[in-house]
Amino acid sequence: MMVRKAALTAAACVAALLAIHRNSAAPGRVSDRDLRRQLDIFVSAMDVVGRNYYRETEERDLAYGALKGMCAALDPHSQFMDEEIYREMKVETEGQFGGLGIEITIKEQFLTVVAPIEDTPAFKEGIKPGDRIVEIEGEPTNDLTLIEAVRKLRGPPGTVVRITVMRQGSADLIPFSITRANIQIQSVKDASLIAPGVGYIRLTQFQEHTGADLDRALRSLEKEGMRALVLDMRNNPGGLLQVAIEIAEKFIGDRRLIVYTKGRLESQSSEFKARSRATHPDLLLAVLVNKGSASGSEIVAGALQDWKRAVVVGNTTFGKGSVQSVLPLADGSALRLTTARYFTPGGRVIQKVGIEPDIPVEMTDEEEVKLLVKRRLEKMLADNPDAEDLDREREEIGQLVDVRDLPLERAVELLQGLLAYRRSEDGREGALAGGTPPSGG
Amino acid sequence: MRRLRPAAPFLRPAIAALLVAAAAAWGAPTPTPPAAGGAGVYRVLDVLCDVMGIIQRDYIEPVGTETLVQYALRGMLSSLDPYSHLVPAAAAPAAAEPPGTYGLEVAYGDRLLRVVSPVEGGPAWRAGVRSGDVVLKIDGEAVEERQLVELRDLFRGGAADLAIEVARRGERDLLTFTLKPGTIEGPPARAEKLDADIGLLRIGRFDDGTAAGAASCLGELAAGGAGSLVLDLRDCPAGDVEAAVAVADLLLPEGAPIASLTGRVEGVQREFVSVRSPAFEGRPIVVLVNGGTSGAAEVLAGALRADRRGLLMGAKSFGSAFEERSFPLKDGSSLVLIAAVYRTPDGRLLQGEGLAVDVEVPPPAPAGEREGGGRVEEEGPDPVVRRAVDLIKGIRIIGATGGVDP
Repeated sequence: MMVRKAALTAAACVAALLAIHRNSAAPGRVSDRDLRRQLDIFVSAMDVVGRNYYRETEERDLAYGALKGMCAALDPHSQFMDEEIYREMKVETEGQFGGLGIEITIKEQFLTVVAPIEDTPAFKEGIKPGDRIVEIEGEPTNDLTLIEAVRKLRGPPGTVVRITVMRQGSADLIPFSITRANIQIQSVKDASLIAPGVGYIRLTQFQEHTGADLDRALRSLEKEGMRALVLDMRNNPGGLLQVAIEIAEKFIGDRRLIVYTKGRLESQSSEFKARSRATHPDLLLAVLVNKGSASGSEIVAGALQDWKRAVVVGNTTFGKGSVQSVLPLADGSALRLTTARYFTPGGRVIQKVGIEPDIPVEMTDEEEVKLLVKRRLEKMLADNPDAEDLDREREEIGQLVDVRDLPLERAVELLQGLLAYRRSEDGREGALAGGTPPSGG
Repeated sequence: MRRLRPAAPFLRPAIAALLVAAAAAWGAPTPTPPAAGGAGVYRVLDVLCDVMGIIQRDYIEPVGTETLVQYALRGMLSSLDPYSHLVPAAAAPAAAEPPGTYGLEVAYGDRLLRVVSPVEGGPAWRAGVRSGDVVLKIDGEAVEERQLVELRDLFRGGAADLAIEVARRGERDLLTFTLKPGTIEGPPARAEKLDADIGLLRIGRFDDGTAAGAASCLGELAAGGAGSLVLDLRDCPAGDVEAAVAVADLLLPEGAPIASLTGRVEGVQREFVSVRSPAFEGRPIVVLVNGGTSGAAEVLAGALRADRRGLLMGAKSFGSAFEERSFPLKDGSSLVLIAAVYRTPDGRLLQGEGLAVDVEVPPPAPAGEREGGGRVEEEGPDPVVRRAVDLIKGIRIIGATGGVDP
């Protein structure tokens, strides 16, 4: 009797699955027999465990383990969310939560810091890009999905979270205790003229006000005589897609394509075009990127590069260019699934590949870290000019005096050269203002 | 959610016999049909089918059904414990005995592959590998992606040299060791007189020779007038539980329970009881354990602790004592599951838990601050052994502790 029941169950399953397959235009349709055979194996395996494992098991736990396992066959951004995690995810996307100020991902199976966000607790404590978080509150992170990890790191502002970090070049694991804070980030920073006619603006991420803040910064620099700009998007982990598009369209405009998505289903594909006229169509641009530039900053850099609106300087970017959809399931759980990828207007895929700089300026991890430390120390000293307990910091910064920001120096020199060229070629500046349609798809 | 029913009563004896070689199960026909049916399984499978359908339709890349099911099986097993695993149909049956062993037990912890312990006197131990070392590379390849099961097999033994790169706490640079397949050298048990009437019994591994070795060591100590014992089981990796039971038999009074093996498969249950009068009557016994104490050694330590004859000192033991069994699926692959786990006589589960110590003693300082290796006999006075001797003297002076009569 049991045999029949199991067979019926599997058969019903197979039928349901086949229905899904028939309704889709998915290529590589699986044969009914293969599917039935595979499901049959799974059903019998579940049964073997249910009867023979040394302790009793819950069907639900086994199935959820299987679902998690299935998603492990996919990319790190695809995951199965049980009811609880899904519910919390929905709350979190609405509510205000304290955090550490790091962008994390799973890379080579490790929970990895993409970049610490400036002026956040993580940045101040000295968390560095590439750090692997191996423990949160003493619990190993190896079985955590990205969402679970984020959930453990977040919490009420003012509370402390302990993490243990594995860092390249350090034999020991490094423990950190970091106090959570409301992460409110100034996303447009350090706007200034750093050479005659050459402005500098750093975009730390793309959030709600980034577009308006950038407008203000651009206007005030133009008043001071800016005619070329270094847009620094190093360690910018991305943010809101719409805002990234808004940034790109200030320089591109004219309803031109900025980014498009493509999945296997037609419905997953869409195009994002500049909605308005470019506000700064002629501003000479150099964009700084590094391997901490991810997602939105790669979209901006890719669009500016393909439309020949900017020269991209630095290191190849992170390569996070995938779109996730959240699909609720019948039992209250949900599936977060990568359903499409971003492509630059010229048809280059961003995922895994990243944006290649036009002018590569290699910076070693060590140099990047030193630069970050230097910036942090400078900031600390500038904020507390009279503090007497900062002697160690003053000494430390003294040792970092020779640390140079080579990519920035190269970008400034390039822009100065281009300004000179534009002056000598007066009247032919269209050649430099860019706007050539990208080649390819 | 309702539970799956326990083992069906009509299991074939071939499968049910304890510790039958996997080969027996391999030959058996398709496993018995599901014992569970009804709404629970149906709903669970429903979600599973939904997800499979969604992935195959919407995911950015096409994914084959077989791949998904294989990953689902692996996910299901790894949700249980780190040892239960799937053996693919194509896998060659495990070679009977590798030509040589490396003598190394490893496990994942914090996503890092750690050495639970090298076997004392084995190739890895002689090369200088130590408990707690983190293995980063094997033959130049990063271990990140490899499954524990595969690694356990690899370290079990082979014919070729194995080059490993490890990180060690307190060492700035990575260390490289070449492991030559070979044999475990030196006796499994060793005796030493620590004080006028306190003896040390060191057991480095549990194999065929351990019980006899321990018996003669204990005889020697008793003859030398030892009235109390320090039993050193630190860094003693998983071995033959029968050998541990035999050693417990030497130390516990006749009739004292030693361990029980519990599981749900018919015939898997076993009780181990001391059947002889003890070869060594002295007490107290202080048992030294640490994170490298695993399997058989934990069974022994747990038995002595439960009898209140032994106090545990050092650090919490590793927590792994189980028997696994192989169950074939109809596609030729098989599931290897933890079918039974050892419990101490006072009901403590070892698997995944480990034994907490009565007296915690931090391990000696890391290698960077000391010269030479970390071995007891190479170092003269071992601080943990010294603490054990102190404790025994203290118990004798002051009296009852943990049920020990003065």
